[in-house]
Amino acid sequence: MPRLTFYPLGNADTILIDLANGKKILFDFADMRCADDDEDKRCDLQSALRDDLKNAKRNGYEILAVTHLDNDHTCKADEFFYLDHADKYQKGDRAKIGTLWVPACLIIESRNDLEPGARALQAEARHRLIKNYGIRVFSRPESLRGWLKDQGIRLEDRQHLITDAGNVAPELNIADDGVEFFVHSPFGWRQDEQTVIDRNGNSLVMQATFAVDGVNTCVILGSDADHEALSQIVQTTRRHKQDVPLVWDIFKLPHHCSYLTLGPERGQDETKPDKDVAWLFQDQMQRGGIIVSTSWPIPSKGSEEDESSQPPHRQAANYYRRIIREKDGQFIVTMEHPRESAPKPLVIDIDRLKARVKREQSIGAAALTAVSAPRAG
Amino acid sequence: METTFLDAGGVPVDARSLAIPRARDLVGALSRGILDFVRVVECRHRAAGGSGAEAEIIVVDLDIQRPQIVENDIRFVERIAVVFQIDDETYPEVLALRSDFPLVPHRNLRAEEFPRSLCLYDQSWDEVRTRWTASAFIERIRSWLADTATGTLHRGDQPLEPLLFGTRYRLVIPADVVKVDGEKAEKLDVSLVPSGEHRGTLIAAKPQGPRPKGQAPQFIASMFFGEARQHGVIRHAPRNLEELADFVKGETFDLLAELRQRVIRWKEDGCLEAALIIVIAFPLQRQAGQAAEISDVWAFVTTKSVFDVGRLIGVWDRVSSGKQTSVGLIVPADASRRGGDVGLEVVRPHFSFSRAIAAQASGAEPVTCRAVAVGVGALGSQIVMNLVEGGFGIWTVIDDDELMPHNLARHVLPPWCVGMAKAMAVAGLIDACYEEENPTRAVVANVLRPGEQAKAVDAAFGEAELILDFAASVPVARHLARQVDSSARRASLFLNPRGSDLVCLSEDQKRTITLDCLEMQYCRALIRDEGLSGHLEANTKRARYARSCRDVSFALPTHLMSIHAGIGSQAVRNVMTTADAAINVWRTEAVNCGTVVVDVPVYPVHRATVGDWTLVIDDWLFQTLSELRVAKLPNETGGVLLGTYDLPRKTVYVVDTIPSPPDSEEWPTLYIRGSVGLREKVASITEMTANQLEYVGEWHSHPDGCSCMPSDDDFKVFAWMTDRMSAAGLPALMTIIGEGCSSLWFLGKMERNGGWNPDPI
Repeated sequence: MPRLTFYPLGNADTILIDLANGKKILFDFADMRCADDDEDKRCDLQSALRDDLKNAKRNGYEILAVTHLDNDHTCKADEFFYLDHADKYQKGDRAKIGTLWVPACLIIESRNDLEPGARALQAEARHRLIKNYGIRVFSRPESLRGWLKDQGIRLEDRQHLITDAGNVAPELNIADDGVEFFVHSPFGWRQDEQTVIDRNGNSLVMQATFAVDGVNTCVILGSDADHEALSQIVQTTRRHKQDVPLVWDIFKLPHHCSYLTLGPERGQDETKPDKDVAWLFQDQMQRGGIIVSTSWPIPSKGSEEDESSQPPHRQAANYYRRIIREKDGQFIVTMEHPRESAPKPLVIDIDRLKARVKREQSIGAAALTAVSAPRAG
Repeated sequence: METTFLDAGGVPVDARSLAIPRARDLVGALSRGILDFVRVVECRHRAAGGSGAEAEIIVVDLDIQRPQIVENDIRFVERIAVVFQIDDETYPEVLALRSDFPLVPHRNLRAEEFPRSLCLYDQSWDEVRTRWTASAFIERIRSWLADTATGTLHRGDQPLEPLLFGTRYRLVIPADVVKVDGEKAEKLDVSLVPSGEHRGTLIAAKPQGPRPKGQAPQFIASMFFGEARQHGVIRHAPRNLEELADFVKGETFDLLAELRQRVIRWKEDGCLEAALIIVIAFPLQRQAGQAAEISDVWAFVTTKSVFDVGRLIGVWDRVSSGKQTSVGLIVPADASRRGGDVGLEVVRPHFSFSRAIAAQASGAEPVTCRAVAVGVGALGSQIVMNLVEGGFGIWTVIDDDELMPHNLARHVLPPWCVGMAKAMAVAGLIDACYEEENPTRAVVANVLRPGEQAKAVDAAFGEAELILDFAASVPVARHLARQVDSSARRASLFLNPRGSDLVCLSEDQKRTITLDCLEMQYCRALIRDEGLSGHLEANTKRARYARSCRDVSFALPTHLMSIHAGIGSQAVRNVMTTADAAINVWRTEAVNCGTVVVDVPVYPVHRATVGDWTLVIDDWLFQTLSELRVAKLPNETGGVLLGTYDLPRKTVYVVDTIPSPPDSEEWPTLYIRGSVGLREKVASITEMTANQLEYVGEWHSHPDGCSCMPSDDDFKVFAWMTDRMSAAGLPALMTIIGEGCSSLWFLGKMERNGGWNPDPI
């Protein structure tokens, strides 16, 4: 049974995807917790993931997808992963990566503001692309030609490692893995008949379709796409007369419930979405769908956080709360689940009845036997 | 699509004012903040009065682990009221407050439809309360809701449970009443077995001919068949006949119209003063489109007599002319009278015991095998009743004895049967269990001398598929094996003298190894199998029950009889599911009651007529004699043969040997059987087998290359044996074992070209 686990990390993303066949996929990695702050309710991500690997008797992931290089998607990756490009990332108990999934920007972008996690992942991605193994770059192939040429590599020799938007990532398929990943972004934006503009700054946006006993459950992994990018994704997809790749049962919100995901104006109490974005959220939502905001708790009206420009934005949340009511859905904020005072990883199991949020009480013997006992004297 | 909630009853109070311990526990557990997925909405207090005892009510919101796709409309968050009554005498009631909470299975029957009451437990409150904690209670509610969402809570044919009332009376209706046509069930006489003030069991019986004049019944029940529908036709307890009729009204079914017709037919039946019980069976259709399986049955006692019911549904009125009053029909019936004044009380319907229910309760399939029980003493009666109560068998019981007071120690029959023929009383007991087309037959006879019952006995055996011998008598077992004309398999079940061991001898399906042969192989096991040591040790605890010297019974603990009757009933079932013959012995330690089972191997049997005698041997003996011969080659060897005689049938069973005594002379062409220790050995074997095995003859071997034909010396030995055995009235037996398992058997006389030469194994 496939399972998604969203870790409570404040405004940051890490999603673990377990497939029925035992494969493990990680979407982003951002270990945000302050280790020396007892009040920090964010999850100790490295311990949680290490325990999970230990329980599964595994040493790493088939796939690590890095949707873009911002710190809230890459933080401390340099501490956790075994990276091939430098010795210093190979000491101790580190998680191996089978294939890296990255958008083109991760290869070609030159940024001076990168934190160590992002820097290490970028170096690893470039290393693997140059060495011609263990990587898939999502991009219009042309956009990589220049960078490859600088490395003395012909684009044609790396073509097999590049997948353009509108395709399915070749590493996984329904028959063997019970899932496929359709690539929405990065994409080329057709400005008019003649001109296609590379939106290479765009992060990796995908739709995962899980098939269990012939029933499909679709998950949009929204990375940090804003309303403009989402509108263009919708228009491009619909221009290709393909609605299916935008159908969703679970929507991982971009950018921690920012109003900019929906439209340009924050609004008073509810953000008004762009037309295409509204179509994506409202028309494409399946009954009982789940919107997941990987964020801090939604601020109450008039609170200090509510005045802040930083997400999560109450007005965006109000929009989501309204639309889920219309389709018997759920809106779940990682730092509020199951309780704001004690957030725990959000686990969603997928079976022939589609998505089901795990809501098991962990008390008494169940709580005691799930973990090692504290040291006794 | 705003969600609205129903009133939970009572008035809001501060959580700190709660006084009922379980209510305090629940709020305490929730306020400590260690439970996820549950939030307190409010606390309320309800004073004693209309809706029951004083209670405290906790309203909570629960997060439900529910998938996207659901069978029933259960939401991700459900508002639930938990009602704790001050007396704590039943489950806290759990009410779903959402105003459009769906009609789902496993609810409690209440006076009002809303709020719906969830039925959480299939155990009694007394059991539940021993492990009740607030957190487990919340989890139980959450899992009820989660399983209801996916439609997986479903457990078969469970109707609504009357939780708060209606449990004072139960109604037993004949098990087959839902199968029989409506006419037979139109009017059932009902008698009340009281069990206290205003409580008891109403027992409905199918009509057995016309009712004697002047015996007006206190109650009558009338059975109706509603239309197949999904569960939940009756959403709350109907208060009166009109409400019930509205609930059950279908496209073709109209309760009031049907009842009016029936009541008219009963006018002259003398039951007008009886209270009317209405029973309605619904062919249950759990899911739309799926075939109906079983009937959901509801029963209601009306608060009125048949006459009043008729009056209140517009069938008739009392008419007075002068001083005479009579019942005057209203034609056509007054359909505006709809029984709104006829109060109803829910009674719990139960089906009478049946073979199907019996088998189901035993976790077994019903078995309609024609079985004859020969002997229904303590063991037989208990085994038979165990089988009957598990839905096994169509029975004939044969016994010539009467139940005596001392039998009560271990017999299945109750004290008021003392003096009755055991066969009759046991048959009566079987038929009282469940009524069937084939009533149990009782034959009061001794199978060895049935006298005028011979025809009945023969008929029973002739039709039987299984003959069970509980007579604990070797002659009876041999008679059943050899004398009775029937294709039925036989099995003997008996206890050893001390009652510590149960023996079951069962023939194979083809009856190639019959009871008499099994008995012999069982005897051999007593001397060969260490696992059976002490089996026939005598019971020295005798109990005299009357004056004559034969009026002695053995003291035998009741519990050993019951344990072995229990084992025996399963042993009988095992016989029916295996094709092979078997000898099983269950040995129970009398104090700690540990039981071990000893399986005695069964060997194929050879039977031959030699002169006017019959000789029976088996493969084990054959093989043993051949091995003893080979071990001594090139010399001859021999020994004595052990077995038993059935003189009335002129049969000798040979089962074992005592090999060559140490002082025997064994030469290549000569064998002289010695005698050192032989007499003692024979004596000890006779004792170990309670006189069942004795000396029956001699055997010796011939060397390789030499036939089994007797030599001149052999003739002399045979003459010597004949001399001595005939004095005892018994035939001499000599066996010569030759090369390659060949053999010749001489019984009664020895001739040059005679003897029995069985096929070597």
